[in-house]
Amino acid sequence: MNNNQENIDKIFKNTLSDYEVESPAGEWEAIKYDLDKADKQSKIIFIYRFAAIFLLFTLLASAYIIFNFKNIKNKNFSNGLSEKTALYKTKKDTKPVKKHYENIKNNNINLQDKVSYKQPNKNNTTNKVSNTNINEKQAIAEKNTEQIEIIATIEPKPPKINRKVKASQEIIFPKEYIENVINEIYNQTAENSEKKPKNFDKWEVGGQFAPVYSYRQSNINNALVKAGTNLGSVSEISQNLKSLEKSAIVFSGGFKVNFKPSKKLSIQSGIYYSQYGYIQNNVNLNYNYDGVASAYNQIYTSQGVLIIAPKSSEVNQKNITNNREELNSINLYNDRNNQISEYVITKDVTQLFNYFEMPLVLKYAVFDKKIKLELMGGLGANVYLNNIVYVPEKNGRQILGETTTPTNIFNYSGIMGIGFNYPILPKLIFNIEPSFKYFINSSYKDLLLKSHPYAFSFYTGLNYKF
Amino acid sequence: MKNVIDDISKIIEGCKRGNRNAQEKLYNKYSKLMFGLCLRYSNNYDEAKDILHEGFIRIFKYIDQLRDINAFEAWMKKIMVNSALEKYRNKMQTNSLIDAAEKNIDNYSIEAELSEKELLKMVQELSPQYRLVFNLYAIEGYSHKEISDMLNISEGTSKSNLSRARAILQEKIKSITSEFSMKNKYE
Repeated sequence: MNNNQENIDKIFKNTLSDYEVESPAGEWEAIKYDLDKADKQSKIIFIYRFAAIFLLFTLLASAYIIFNFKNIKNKNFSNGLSEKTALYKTKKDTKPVKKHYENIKNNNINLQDKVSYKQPNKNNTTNKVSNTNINEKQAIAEKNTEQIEIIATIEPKPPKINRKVKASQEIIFPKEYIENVINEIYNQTAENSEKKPKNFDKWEVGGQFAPVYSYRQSNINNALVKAGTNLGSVSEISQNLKSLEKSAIVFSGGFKVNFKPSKKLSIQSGIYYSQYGYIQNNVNLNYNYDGVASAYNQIYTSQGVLIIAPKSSEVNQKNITNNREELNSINLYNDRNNQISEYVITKDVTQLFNYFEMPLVLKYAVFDKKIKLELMGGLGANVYLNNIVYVPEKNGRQILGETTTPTNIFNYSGIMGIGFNYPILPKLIFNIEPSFKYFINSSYKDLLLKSHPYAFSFYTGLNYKF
Repeated sequence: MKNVIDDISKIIEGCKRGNRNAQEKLYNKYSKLMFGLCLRYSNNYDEAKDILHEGFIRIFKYIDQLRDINAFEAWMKKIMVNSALEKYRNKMQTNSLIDAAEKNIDNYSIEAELSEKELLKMVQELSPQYRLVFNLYAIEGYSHKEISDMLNISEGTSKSNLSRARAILQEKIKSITSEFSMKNKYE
């Protein structure tokens, strides 16, 4: 019996192990389509990862800079007085003292250095401060500050100054130290004191969001028209496109970082998710009664060939078949046995292109008071993510397909605009930035029409400065 | 022979780089053989087509993991078999066991009398699990232990399935050959 079984195995193995059958026609194309799709997805994943790393890097860099900046300030200041433990109190007007205190901090002035620096000037007749009696100075300073009291809590390692410890764990600073502070205040308030440059926050981080008016500018490739296409003349194509396509409202938003090397100038970058799009008028969408696409519609547009392939789950049959008015506008086919087996609906179809945008924008403040007005201009690197074709529905949208025309992954746009900044809190700025973006390169490869998307965006957002 | 290997090596290298032309060459070179295998693991053309499609996608996806070029064909077959197994798992159907009695078959060569298509049809007509076990054991050369791991069944079930599959095939061969003999007798 075993022999028989082995014989059976042998028969089949010998005959079928290397049996070849002609593979199905068009199978390679189907495999190729899936491979292309997988490649596209892996590129998108790469882009997402890149964006995440970029964002992380930016955040870490910002955190590092903030941390270092504060450390430097603390280090310099702690030679005289710890920033954390010092507290100035004035009964009526704290501004001059605070301002002085801030100036000491921000200019990285070491109080002890300041004292030693001032010693040689004591006999200088041009310096009124050094020759002024301490009581007079104090009187002048107090006139400005309305009775100053400097209090500090105890530190584990106190600054190298003599101190008296109160029962309440507060330190009253020694006379010499208060003298120095009073000298500083005097210097600041005295007419002959030198004017120091005002300090400002160099960094801003924030988020922005914008509704975007988006469309495209199409340049017809004359050479191709001359070479003979059946699309008609240049003017005919332009006219056709005007009647077939219109602008769309889309969205953009992201995270931004602003660095100010000077008071008026700033450089802005960040990472944004940006959409561009347009609407194709009166597209005929074919459906089976089951909601399955009866055929793959292909629409030739300025943005490539759109492939419309609705899925059954995404077709709202009830709305279509129950709505009388809509039914009247539907072309019905194959009406066998009083059953509608196929229908066509004419709708406006929106095509969206999604990008990651990394702008580099130079801003110049032309007006800088309570409200700041800036002019801005720069470039943006736009990394293509994907595109979708959809029809707006009552409860969202019905995604129909996408374009299969090869799309440029890396695109560059010119950016210009104006920015209004208003501080709603000392460190928090509300900003409005109307801007215009234009794709320098065509968004598609090898297309009869070179298409340059553009967008008017109305960004609003909040910035935190430090 | 060396040229052939060099040629395949170049194609594989191209495939590893994701070159579409190389992938197309590879497909053209092996699709017939692979489709023959897919047909053995399915009971209809469309299902075999799906297995072929999925199998080639996987081949291109994992080809950079291939180390031994000499074992490339076996590696491809293994991927196709795995695709077929996955298809089987996804489309698991409750098939009633066929109680076919084991019958002896005369120990003569009938290979010449049976065409590849007829044998393929017989395999395709087996129930899905019998078909898998028979293909894996008799044609691919896997052991019952390996088959039991692949299909998540016991070794005993694998042996039993193989035995029943053989019995069914024996029966089919016997009926065909007897028809053939009768035909010859009266002609």
